[in-house]
Amino acid sequence: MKKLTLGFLTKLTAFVLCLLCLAAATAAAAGLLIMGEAGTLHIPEKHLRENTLSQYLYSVMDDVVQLAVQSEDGASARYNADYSNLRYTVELDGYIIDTNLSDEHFAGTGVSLSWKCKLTELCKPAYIDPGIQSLVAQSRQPVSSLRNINAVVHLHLVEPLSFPDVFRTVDTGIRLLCAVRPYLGWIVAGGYLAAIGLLVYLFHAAGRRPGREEITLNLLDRIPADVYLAGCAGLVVLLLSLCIASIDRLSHSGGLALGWLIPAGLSALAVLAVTLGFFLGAATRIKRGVLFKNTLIWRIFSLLGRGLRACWRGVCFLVRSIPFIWRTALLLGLILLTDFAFTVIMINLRHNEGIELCYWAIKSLLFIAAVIAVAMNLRAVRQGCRDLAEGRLDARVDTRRLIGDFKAAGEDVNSIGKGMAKAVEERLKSERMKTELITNVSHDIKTPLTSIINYVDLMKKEPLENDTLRGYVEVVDRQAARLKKLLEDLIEASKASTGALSISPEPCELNVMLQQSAGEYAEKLAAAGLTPVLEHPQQPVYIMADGRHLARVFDNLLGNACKYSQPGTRLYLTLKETGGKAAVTFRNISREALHTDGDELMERFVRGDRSRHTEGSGLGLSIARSLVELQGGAMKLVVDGDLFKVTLVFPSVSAAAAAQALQESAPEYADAVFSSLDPAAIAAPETTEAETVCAGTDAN
Amino acid sequence: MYTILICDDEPDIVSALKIYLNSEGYRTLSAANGREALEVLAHNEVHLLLLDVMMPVMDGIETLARLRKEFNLPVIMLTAKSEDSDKVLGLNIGADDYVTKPFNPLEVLARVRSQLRRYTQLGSSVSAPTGVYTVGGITLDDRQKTVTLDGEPIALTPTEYDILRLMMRRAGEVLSPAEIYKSVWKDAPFGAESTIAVHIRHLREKIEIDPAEPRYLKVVWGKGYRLETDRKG
Repeated sequence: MKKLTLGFLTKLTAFVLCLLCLAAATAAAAGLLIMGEAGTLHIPEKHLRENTLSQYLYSVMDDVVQLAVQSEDGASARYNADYSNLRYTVELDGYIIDTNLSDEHFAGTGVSLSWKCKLTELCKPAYIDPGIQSLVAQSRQPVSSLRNINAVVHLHLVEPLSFPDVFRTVDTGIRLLCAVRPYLGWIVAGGYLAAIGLLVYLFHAAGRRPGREEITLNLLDRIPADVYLAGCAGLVVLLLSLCIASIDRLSHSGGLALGWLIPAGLSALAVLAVTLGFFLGAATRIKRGVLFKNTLIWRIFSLLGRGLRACWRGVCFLVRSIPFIWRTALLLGLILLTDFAFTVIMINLRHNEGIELCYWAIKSLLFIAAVIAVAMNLRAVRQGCRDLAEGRLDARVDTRRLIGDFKAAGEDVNSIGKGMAKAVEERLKSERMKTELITNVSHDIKTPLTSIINYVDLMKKEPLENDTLRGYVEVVDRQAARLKKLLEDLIEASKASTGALSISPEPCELNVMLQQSAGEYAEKLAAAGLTPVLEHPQQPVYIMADGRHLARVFDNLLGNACKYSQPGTRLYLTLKETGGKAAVTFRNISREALHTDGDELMERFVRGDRSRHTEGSGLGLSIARSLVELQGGAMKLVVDGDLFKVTLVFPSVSAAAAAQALQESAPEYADAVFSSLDPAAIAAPETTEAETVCAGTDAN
Repeated sequence: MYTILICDDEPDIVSALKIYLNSEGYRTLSAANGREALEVLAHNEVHLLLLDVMMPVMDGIETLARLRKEFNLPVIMLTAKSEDSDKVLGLNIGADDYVTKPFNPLEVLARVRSQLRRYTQLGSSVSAPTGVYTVGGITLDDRQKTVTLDGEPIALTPTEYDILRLMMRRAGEVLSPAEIYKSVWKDAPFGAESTIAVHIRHLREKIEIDPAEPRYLKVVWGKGYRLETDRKG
């Protein structure tokens, strides 16, 4: 089916049919228009024929008269009665000078035309044959009065028109026209409708071929569109001029040279064919999407564009390969050179203010635009750097809008950010894994340790005769307890150092905290022979901290003091608040000489005595420091001779802020705590320090 | 005689606990995992369960959740996990107490004793006469000036008694040292609050099984002290 509907022959037939339909319809329309205008659409055939033939007779009249007066033979050579339907008689001043009638009367019926006028209206005197002149002169008048010769021309067409000449052709045409006259409207409508239908088919089928899905270009379609257009236009112009020339000839001959009708019609048909062909080709190109691409202009421009782009890329590469400083220098040099050249030109032009103003305006605008662009780029890169500096590692510089070296800088910043983010993430991951490992291992150790502790305890309960054995059991018992403590500290330290602890900061009154801690340690301090001395301001000092973790810090520090202090000395616990900072200081005298500095002591598993024979894991200070830092504080350790001094510094908060924070987090506690406060103590910033010596024994 | 079920996958720990509990006069049963424990519970009369958390087949948490649907007996969790969140989870699911590994056998015995006493004796003490305060296993009779813990009398100094009475009256509240001082000593607390901490500590040693991890008398660090109202009401 497709093969049939899209085949070449089908298309060709449709094309020809379409042309013919168009031509017929157009001709019919032209006929209708002309006849409508001339009012000949409805007059009877006889009159139309007579009118038309009369006009033709009038057209040949000149010819007949000229022939008659110019030669001896007269017009009978052209209009011989043996092969022409025309019968004529030319009279000059009553003398019949030429005729093709055998007798002097017109015989039969037919269309006739008689014309009377001066001879000079029909032909110029110069053309008049001397023989005729003399004939006329002899008869009546001198030659000088040739213009006064009266001419009478009788023309007659013999019916039926038996000889094939122009009259018969016209006659046939008129008969034909009259035959189709009633159907002209139908021809116009039908012709155009058929043409439209065929056009639709042709435009649809353009470029399609049987057996191929895609639009296929034929040889003509491969010609560049503009060349094709020019060719078609040239052809059309040529054909149109041919057509016009033919019609011109026809009309010059007064409609006698009917042979010109053939070239005229054919060329008109060819114009139609070329135009239709062009549009069908254009349709194929549009369908294929190559209307503009397949043009010579497009090709030239794309070639030019490619060349320009290559040049630009080359220039860019060249510029990029110049070092940054040299590039800047080059740019500045170019600007100076332009200025210099402009100034020289201006001097030669005798300072045209208008041009100068324009130049400086353009230059200033360009300069401002460049400075703004540089500033914006710089800001983007700067912002990226600041993001990195402030720890926002996921922030990225949008390099799409940056230019030149700023783009490179932005990309560098981005890759630094990426690298840092990756490093931080890996670090965190490894820390987390370490903590998990320590926690898991510790948990696994706990189970066997439970058995050891339990069975050692059972052994202690058994009656042992052997004192040595009992001593050994004691050692195992003590070491098991130590192992237990060590494990707990290890888990705590790993959690605290990696921040795996959950911290919920609440307002914490340091005065109370110190009293509570000192109270908890009263017996242990007394056992270690230490006298605690508490110094704190009368009004409460608040910090934001997690009480449980802070208690652990105090616990570790006091435990340390108990373990390592010289008996019989004092332990000073001092709380001070200065300039928004609350500082708690622990001061005690070391029993052993400390041959190490403070920072080293805070490292994990470092102990001042180096002998490692006393209890403790060596993690206490490390845990304390981690916990303090997790809560936003700082821990400082100073060893000055035997003086061992630990300072904890936290940002303090005002009593009002503390009350508010407490109200928000735990309203039920707030009333209980703050109802007991003396309002006067908050209002008056008294700095009298209360000093309490804890005897370390029960007050009872 | 009370029957105690010990559920732990570590045989050594089970047998050690058995020795301690038997020496105290308890009958003991054992199970190696949660499923076995549920079986034993179904076929025996058990008064208390010591339940390990990390066990094969069925762990302690799941076992606890299942047995709570059928049985009402005190459960003490034995756990190697010492994180607070694990403890809270265990207590929320229905454990009565917990002991973290590595544990002190004496502590386990004390907790067992405490739970059994409360379970058997204090179940009925609902309505208390005026002047008698009860918080958890602690009962303070202000008329007779006596304090009992899980039914056993405790000897307190007058100051400790006054502090405990104040805290039991206002159980659940955080009391600052200054407030306690004002109330007990009837005096302005200038600088003398530190002594409160010492008294509280002594008090805690008397009423708590593990003073380092108190059940009742809690230190609210940086604020004061609070007597915890019993979780079980």
